[in-house]
This record gives sequence, structure tokens and C-alpha cells, in this order.
Amino acid sequence: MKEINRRTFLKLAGVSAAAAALYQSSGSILAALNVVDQETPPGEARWVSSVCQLCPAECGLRVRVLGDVAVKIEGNPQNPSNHGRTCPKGQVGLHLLYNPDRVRTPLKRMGERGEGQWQPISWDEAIEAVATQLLASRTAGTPERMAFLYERPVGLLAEAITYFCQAMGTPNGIDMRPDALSKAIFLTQGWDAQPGYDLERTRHLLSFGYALLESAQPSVHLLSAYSVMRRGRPGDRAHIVQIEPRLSVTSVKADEWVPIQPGTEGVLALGLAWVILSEHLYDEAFVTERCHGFEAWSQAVLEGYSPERVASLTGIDERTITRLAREFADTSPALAIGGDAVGQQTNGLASQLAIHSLNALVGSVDVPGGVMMQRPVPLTPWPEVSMDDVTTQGLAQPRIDGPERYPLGHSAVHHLPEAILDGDPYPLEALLLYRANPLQESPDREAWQEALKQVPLIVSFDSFVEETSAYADYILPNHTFLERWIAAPLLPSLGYPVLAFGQPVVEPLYDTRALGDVLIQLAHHIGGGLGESFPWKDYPELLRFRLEDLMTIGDGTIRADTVDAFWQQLAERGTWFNTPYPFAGGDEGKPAEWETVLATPSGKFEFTPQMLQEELSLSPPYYEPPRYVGQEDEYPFHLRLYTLMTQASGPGAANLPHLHELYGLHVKQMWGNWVEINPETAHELGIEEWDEVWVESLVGKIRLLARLYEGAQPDTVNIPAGLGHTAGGQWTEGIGANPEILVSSSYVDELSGLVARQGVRVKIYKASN
Amino acid sequence: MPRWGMVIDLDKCTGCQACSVACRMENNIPFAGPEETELSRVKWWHKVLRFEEGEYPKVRLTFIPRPCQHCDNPPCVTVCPVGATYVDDEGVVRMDYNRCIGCRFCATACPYGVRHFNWYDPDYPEEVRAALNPDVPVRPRGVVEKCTFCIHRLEAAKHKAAEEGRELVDAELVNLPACNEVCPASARYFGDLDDPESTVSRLAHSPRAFKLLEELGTVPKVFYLKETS
Repeated sequence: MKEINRRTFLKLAGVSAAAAALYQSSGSILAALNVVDQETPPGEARWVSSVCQLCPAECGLRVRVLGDVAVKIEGNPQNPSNHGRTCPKGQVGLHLLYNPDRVRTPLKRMGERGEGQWQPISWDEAIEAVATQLLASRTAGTPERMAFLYERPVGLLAEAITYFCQAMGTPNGIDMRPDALSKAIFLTQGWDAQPGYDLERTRHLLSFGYALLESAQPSVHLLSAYSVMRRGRPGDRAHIVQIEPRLSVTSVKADEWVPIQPGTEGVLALGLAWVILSEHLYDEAFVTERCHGFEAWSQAVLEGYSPERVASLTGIDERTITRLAREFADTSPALAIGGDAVGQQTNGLASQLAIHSLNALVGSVDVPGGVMMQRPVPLTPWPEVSMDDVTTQGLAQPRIDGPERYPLGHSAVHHLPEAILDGDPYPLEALLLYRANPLQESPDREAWQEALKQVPLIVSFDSFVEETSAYADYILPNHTFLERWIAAPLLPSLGYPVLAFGQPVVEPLYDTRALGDVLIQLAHHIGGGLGESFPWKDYPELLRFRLEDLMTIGDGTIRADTVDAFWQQLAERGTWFNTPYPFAGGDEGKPAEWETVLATPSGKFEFTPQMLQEELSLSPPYYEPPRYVGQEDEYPFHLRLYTLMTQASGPGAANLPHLHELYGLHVKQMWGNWVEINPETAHELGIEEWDEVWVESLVGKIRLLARLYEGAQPDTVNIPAGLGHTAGGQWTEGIGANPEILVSSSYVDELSGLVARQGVRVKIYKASN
Repeated sequence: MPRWGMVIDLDKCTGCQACSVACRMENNIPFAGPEETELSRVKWWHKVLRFEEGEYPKVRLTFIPRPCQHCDNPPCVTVCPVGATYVDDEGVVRMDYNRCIGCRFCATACPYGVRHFNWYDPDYPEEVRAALNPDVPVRPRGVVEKCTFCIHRLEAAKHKAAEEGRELVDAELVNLPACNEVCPASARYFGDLDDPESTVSRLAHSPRAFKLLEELGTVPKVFYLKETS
């Protein structure tokens, strides 16, 4: 017990009794004044590589660890995607790990679904229970009656899930987030994926709502590319035009914001093409040598899409259309990019086609400053699954969501509730969920709720109980990303292949297990062909197998003679990559063959994709006007949904208080979302700043704070998406309102099957109390 | 003696706010929660300011990241009755939490609004307490706190340099504070304004350079480079 002398007393004067007591027991003034018992974990600090999972970018991280405690996250300087930096989301990764609302053990449902009564069970019991039911499907010869819904980012885990489904004998490994751009690339260039963009070398970016500085991925790379475009090339500053329905952060930082009516981006692109064609500003060499169908397409554009006509359809005047086209075509290299929102209209795919055609017109395909094809990381291919009669029979069944009803359908998740309720094409017996939350993010939640009741087994692998996992029978909680091995090939961006690699940074805090390990354990427990298809004892062993080819090929930033040595270097550095990008139209390194990047039937960029012409008998340029949800007279406003930089994704993403406290800088709004209304429009409606209003569509309504925003067009209102949860944690529930309620699944793009999420019309009125 | 300062390039800044969060995570700043936020008690040592001008469709938004300006003539130091805040001999405006009596004259005097009073003891969720940064003390209720230019990192860098028998170099200073280290746009620089070769020194002389509220005579040591078109 330390004596308190007069000097000490004066130092402590005015401080609480608790502090005085602390002083007496510890003898330290600093400890006394630290009312939080701040223990310094023992040992030297070390830095461990990890991979962020708070958004699809999967940036490389370095985490500072003291003893067994992670105390700070920084970016991994060796990862070329985020080069040592993180966005605001990545910075709070520690709060996903150290979060009071995590699921800490496997859980079994007690009582009715959705009641929230859970009983902790052991992992043995959990694996046994789930495996038994899945085995029953196989024994009955109906393995296809299992569906596994997942959403990016999941790194190689997405591939492991798909492989598990194949080995199980079900075609129903379903990605919750398909997009239209990858289909446009498939039609014009022959490969089904989003492209990369060489932003750092482009000199003109014509962006159709591409959320470069908000929600486009990989975020840190794009923010950095913006910085390079502006100040990284002295004397050669890039020009950015942002064509989008609202003043976003990208619009703010662009050289020009062009407000446009939602759903008309594609017709604007065709109007720009008209100018480029009629003024002969296109890249003659590229169009002649590398393109198919240019004559037919250009004739159709010139006949139907004059600036005069396009002006009336988009609200953008003819002179602007002409000027934008000339500026785009006169600057080289230039890039035209359609953001995700363009694809989420009934004419989404055709619009993305029109926009991407602009790149071909000016020769910006596979040249520096243009569009690139993201090269895969050369990992060992998955083995063939062990096929027995049950698996063969199962895989021959149609997909339960029926994406093939759309010519270019990838997933048609919005059909799942009806498929389940009708038992058509077959009943669903088991639903597995990882980072998939249709009750929150998909339209028709009542139908989903009804449908979920019909499914005998629902299993969630999430680390937080959110809306859909609340309906599960079993929760087999995954580790957070800081507690597990992660291998993540970079999503389309840099063009050259990059692998981000992360190891467990701390021992698991709770009785959770890595999903990769659980898949293997389930497979072994179920046995038969499924068990044989997983000859690895755990996920790290599976990863080692995948890395063998990468090691053997001996290219890129890591060279080693054994997988063990390769693994060690990879774990240490947190990344492998291989430069340069081999532009087919460039002279760096070894240029790729044009047939690689133009893998169409003709071996050329197809302005008139053969599938559309021949199979579907469509005529160029394939464009049709958007169909909106709701008539204008009753629902006078377009609804624009967008995602903020401060909005993370995945389980627990909305339970991160620091992000809530930043949330909407452009309107200075924290802890909740709002609807942005043009001030004059608001005045006409009798709505004032801070009023609570109802936003109502054909299918639903939500109550929100009204914020008057000069960046809103008079006939378009904007709502940030991602909040309005009813489950997920103490900082999640009740914060904001969920605008997905306003979206109707009855309006889809008939080519891609995508729901027209951005084609909703709404009415707005003051809430009465 | 070095004179520490910062340069922030508004032409590169995209208003992403990674800087504000990095500062919170580095310095153990607790979140306020929705109710306290309503009462304007949210604590951001570093905050991105937003200014709006114009009317639809000619609207302009400007984002200005704002740490403590570490003024050479700080009004906060002038008004403090107990000498709890002072400019050290390298130009960093420091806090002595022991002396602070919580009168908040300094917070009132600061024209940049960088100072925050602790109305409560910090209330971290139990799980988060384990992950506090041990290099930065936690502040009790009753004292004012603010950005320190990550003085703990500066001290660590000095120790390292001394151990290695050398001076600090510009390259290890540019990204020294947590806000600079995280910035995805590499828009921020830190260093010795009195070293004519340093990055901050050169950039501070840019024709694009300006300071906030310079007319008040605070002599802030954070320089901003304005956006160009």
C-alpha cells in the first residue's frame, strides 16, 4: 500500500476516489489517472499480414500485435492494390474482431424460427447434425435439393463453396450479387468477368455513374488512382466527367458533373457514339482490324440516336452531348466506364453494352490507359470432383433459381422464394448461407419469410446473427478475418494478377471455426464421393495444394523451391503479384495475343454480338428505354440508391460505431440514413430540413429524415443503402431505414435477369407525427 | 531544432475520412453513440470539414481534413489559467492532462474547434478495451484533449534514430502520424518546416498553399494545397 503524502494528494486532488484507490494499489500516478485499467500486453510488437473482408476489395493489411492482442491495423505496403493504405472501413477491422455481439459458439435453434432462442452446442454436435441431414439428401438421391447462397468478398472460399456444391451433387452454389457489366464484356470480348481499368494512365475518364470515390472496388486502389490522375503526372492531368443522377463524391471531385435521368445512360452513350461516328473521330485502325459488326452497328446508331433525339430522352442538351463526345474522342487514351447502377435497370445490359462500345470506338481496348482483362492468379486448378451416380444425377438437374430463363442470366435469386414455395423445379431441403442476407437486401421479404418456413434445414456460417441467420436452425460461426487464413485473388482492377494472403493474427477469441475447415469437416463426415473430393485435412492444407502451381511456375514476386518455403514468404509478405500487364495493343513485356482478350466467336470485339444477333434475333444497338416501377403521375420521383465509402458489407458491418459516426460527410449526417431532396422540390412539397418523411413506392414505404441537398436533381431523390437493420447487434438495430423495401422484383432486365433496383419511382410526403 | 508541420493536398484528397478513423483507432478515442452525438459531444481529434456553395446544378462541395493546427501563436495556450497546454520547443502544442482543470477556456478560444472536453470517463465496450493502443494514454473525464501530431510516434522515431546513431530523415517523417500513414490518396505530408529540403517545406512554398483563418494571427503549421481545375 503506497502512502499518500501531501504532494501526491494535491496531484490527485479533484480526481475520483477510484483513482485514489488505484494509486494506492499500483503506486503509479499514470495508472491512477488512467481510469481504464490499461494493461500493456507483454512482449515486442510484431506485424502480421491479414486481408480485410469489410468490402469486396480485400485489401492487404498489416496488423500490430502485442502478446496475443491486435492493437492497430495498417495497410500492407507490399500489396500493389492498396500499397500500405486503408479506407475508413479497414481501419475499424479490430472492432469486428473485438465486438460484443459476435456469435461465440455454434448455436442450435430452440423454439420457433426467428424467436431468437438459441442453445449453445459443441462443434461435434453441430457438424454431426448438419452432415446427417445433407447425407440424407444424398442417400435419397436428391443432392440438388441443397442450395448454398454466398456473396463476395470471400476470396478462394467462394471457389471452395462452389466446389463443395459440385462434390455434393448440387448445381445450386448461388452468388447473391451478379452484375450486368460482366455480361456486356462477355458479349463483346468473349470472357465473362468485369474488366480492369488502367486509370493511372488514362487521360480522360467518361464515367456513367461509376462510383470511383465511393463504392466502386477496390476502394483504396481507386482513391489512389484518382490521386495519380490528378497530381501523379505533372503537366498531364487527367480529365474526369461524371454523368450520374446525383452529386456524389465522385461528381464533386470530377471536372464536370452531368446530371442525367436514371436509366438513360445507355441512350446517352449512343448519342455520343453518333457524334463520334458522324464526325469520323473513331479509331479507324482498331475498328477495321479488331472489330466485328461495326458497319451494321454504326448504321443503326446514326439512324436512330442523333443528339437531338437523345437530348429529349436524357434531359441533356445537344451542345453538351456534342462537346462530351468530342472531348472523349479527342483525348487519348480515354476510358468509358458504366457503374453498377447502370446495370440495375430493365435496360441495364444494353446500356452497359452501349457504354463499353465507346471504348472500342476510340480503340481503348487492351492498351495503356484503357480496358484490361484481369489475369487470374495461376493457382493449381481444383481437382475433378469424385463423381458417383448420385452426384452425376444431381448436377444434371436445373438450377433452382432458374437463371437460364434469361439468355445471359448468372443468378436469378429473386425467383428463389417462388421456387421454394412452389417446389418447382424441386423442393428445397437445405439452405446454407454465408454472407447472404436476403431478408435485408433482397426485395419481397414477405415472400422470403414464407419460403424460409418451407425449408427443413437452414444453416448460417456468419459471425453475427442478422435478419436471415435469425431464421436458421443452426449457426456454425466463422472466425472473423483476423482469426483465419485467407487467400484472395484481386478482383478486376489492376489487370495483372495479385494474390492477397492473410494468416490468423490472434488465437480465436471464441469457439468459432474457419468456414474453410468446416466445409472440409462436413465433407469428411458426409463421406462418399463428397468426402473423397476433399483429400485435405484442413483449409491451410487445401491452400497449400492450390499454391503448388504458383510455386512451380516460378514467376512473380516470390520464388521458392518448395511449397513450404513459398508459403513462408507469402505469409510474411502478405502478397504475391506479377507485373507488367501484357497489353495486347502495347509494347511492354510480352504483349498478349489478341485472341486472348477478344475471345469471341469472331476473334474480334463484337459491336454486334453473335449471340444477340443470331440466337435472340435482336438488332443493334439493342437499346430499349427503361421501364420504371410505378407511374410518373402517382410516383413523381426517381429513386437513386447508393452506397457510401463508410458502409461496410458482410455480417457485423453495420455494428461498427466509428463508421456510424462518420457516415455521411456530404450532408453531415451520422448514425442513420436519410433521403436527399432538392431544396426547391422540398419547398413545393412543404417539406423542411430535418422533417420526417415517408418515401413510398409501388411495393413498400419507409420513414426517413429529409435532408435538403443541392446535389439532388429536382425529380430524383437519393437514399444511401446498407442500414435499417432489425438484427445484427446493439449498434445495428434501429439505425436508419432500409430502402431495399422499396424495390420490386417484378421489374427485371430480361437479358440479364437483374432486378431493376435503380428503376424505382417514389412519392414523398411528410410524416404526420 | 525541428519545427513540425503538416501539408495536406486538397487536390488529391477525396474526402474518404480514413484519416479521421485512423486517428481514433491510434489514439484510443471512444465513439460517442447516437444520443451523445445528438448533443454534439462526438470526439474527433481529426475531422474532415465539408463546405457547400451554390445551388443546383452549380454546386460545389469542398472537403478539408482538419487536425490540430499546432499554431505557433496558439490562442489556447494564451488563455489556459494553469499552464496545462503549451508549445514545446519543436512547435508541437502539447497537453498536460495532469494539470488540466477542465475549465474549457482553451476549447472556447480555439478558432478551429480542435479541442474536446471529456464530459465522461471513456466507456469502451469490454471487448474493445483489450485492443487499446498501449502507446497512447486514455484520458479521464474532466480534461480537454486534442490531436498531438502523434507525438508518441515521433518520440518512437527519435528513439530509433538515436539507437541507430543517426538523425531523423524526411522519408520516415512524411507518413509518421496515423492520419498520414493511412491516406489512400497519399495526400498528406508531415515533417520539419525549418528544413528547406523537407517535403513539407517545399510544398509549403507552393503557389497553391494556404492556411486556415490566417487572418486571426494564430500562425497555424498545417498548410493546405488548394484544388486546381
